[in-house]
Amino acid sequence: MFTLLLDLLIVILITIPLMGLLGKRFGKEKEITSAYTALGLLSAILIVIFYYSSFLSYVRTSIVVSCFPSLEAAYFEVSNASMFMILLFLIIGVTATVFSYSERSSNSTGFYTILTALITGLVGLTLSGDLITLFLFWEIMCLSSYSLVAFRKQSAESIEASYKYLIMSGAGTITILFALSLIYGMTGTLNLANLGSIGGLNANPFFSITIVMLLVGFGLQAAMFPFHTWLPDAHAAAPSSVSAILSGVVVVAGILGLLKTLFLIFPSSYAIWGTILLVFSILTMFIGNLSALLQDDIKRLLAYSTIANSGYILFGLAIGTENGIAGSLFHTLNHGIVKALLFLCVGSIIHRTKTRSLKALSGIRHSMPFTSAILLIGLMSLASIPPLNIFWSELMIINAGIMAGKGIFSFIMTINMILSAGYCLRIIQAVAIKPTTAITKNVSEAPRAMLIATSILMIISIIIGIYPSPFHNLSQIAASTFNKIIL
Amino acid sequence: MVIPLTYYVTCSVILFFIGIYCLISKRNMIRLLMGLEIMLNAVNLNFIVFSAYGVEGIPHPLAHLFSIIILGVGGTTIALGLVITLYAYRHYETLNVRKLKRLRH
Repeated sequence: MFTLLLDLLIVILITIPLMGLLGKRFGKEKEITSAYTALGLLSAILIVIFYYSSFLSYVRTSIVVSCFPSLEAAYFEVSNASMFMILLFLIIGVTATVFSYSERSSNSTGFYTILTALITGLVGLTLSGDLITLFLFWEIMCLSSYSLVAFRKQSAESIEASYKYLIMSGAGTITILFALSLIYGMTGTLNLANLGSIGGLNANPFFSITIVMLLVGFGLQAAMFPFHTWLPDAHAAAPSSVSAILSGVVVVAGILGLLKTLFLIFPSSYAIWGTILLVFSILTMFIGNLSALLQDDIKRLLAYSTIANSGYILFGLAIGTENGIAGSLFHTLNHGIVKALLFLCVGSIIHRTKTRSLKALSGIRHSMPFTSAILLIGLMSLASIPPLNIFWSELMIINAGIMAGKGIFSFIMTINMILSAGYCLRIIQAVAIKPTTAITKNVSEAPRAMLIATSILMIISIIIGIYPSPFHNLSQIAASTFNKIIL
Repeated sequence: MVIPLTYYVTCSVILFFIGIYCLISKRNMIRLLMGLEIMLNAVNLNFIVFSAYGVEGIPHPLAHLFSIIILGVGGTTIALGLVITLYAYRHYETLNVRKLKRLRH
């Protein structure tokens, strides 16, 4: 009905509760639902690779799908950029599903249903070709992430974080809606392709209000500086597999929203929003990195590092050239994979030791050698050490900044990378060098499902690090979809 | 006599800021959700007014459709918010949002 991929995901989403019912009858609810979800998401990956393979090549292609083609109908746009992002969402979805097999003890049907709803929302958001569809899938994504944060309802921390997230993100969503209503008032349509071809919007008095509202609304989800306060609470309070998805992928939804609205509808007024975005992206980097340096709770530390990396991605967008956007998209991919890897590793350590304090976790490598090795590779990548993947995308963003004549901001980003290496080294020191404590002495290695999930992500991270050029080219092609700015 | 469009838009902007004020100043958790609902209604008013003013006499159906979708989605958000409020009340035994501060670091 929509596109093949989205249809498949929606069918899986609807049938997971039935599978759960079936599983309860045989007394194997967890096994059946998790295997079904993982297989469903894997088949979605296979569909992307085989059915949509032309969108993963180096030729720019894009098709528009609609059931009833008219100006008011719902549109889906399948393009290189959407397939690039969807592949990331599905990979992280599969690994989080595999990981949570060992993490869950009760109510797995509900968990996997909401998890699949989150992935479906993200995929639909990426594919959407008009703003109504975008809003609808945005809201599916937001609602499922609120409920996943509050999933451990017996812990007061989760409930509090989820309430804070719901109020802030709800206000952000309504701000986006207000901007959409103003866009509708100015143009009479909400179709992205139509809106892109309408020029001369900047004569309208509501024009700059619309841009600011879009920046606030989508920036809130992307953890832009004054609106980042919900992120460390929500990401630290969620179950670890959910934190991996939230940090790696849900932050990207805000970035995608900015790309779809500002870059496609308002390319001619880049001078206004480019400057705002530039200033706030720099502030976001500093706030994220400096707060992360002070944390003792390891999940909060990683969450603050997500804020900093979101700042890098926003900086790439603010540069506005094709190289900048390509760097941002490439960094989105790399950061998503590495941050999911780190949250899953930390999650398996927390699963065994039941503590989140960095001091209490010192010397964990003696009792959990494999998990610690994978964690160290992820941390070295986050510290942007050359043969691993994050280095390449950060290099691309910095390069793009220098080429666009924003060298001073690229320099500031380099300072931030040094700060981020600082807290990565702190964790490396605690995990690998310090002596064991009473907590870490008597724990055993992580369960096999957790090790499988983390090693898949580690292998992807190393492959991108050693051989980045195909992914680099893909992100260049994806970026050309959004590049309408004439500087 | 037709009322000018600016009056309606001013009204909806005022409604929107009443909602923001409610979110900033109120302490009751349920009132915050009501603040969200007020902001949502400002958006709906905007859509309906713009649909009527596009072409004289013929309301555009797109905006009506969108505002009905917004009503449904808003209802879902508020329902989820109320569930979370209920659990928060069980944990903290108060509805005062300033008392929810186990996460302050």
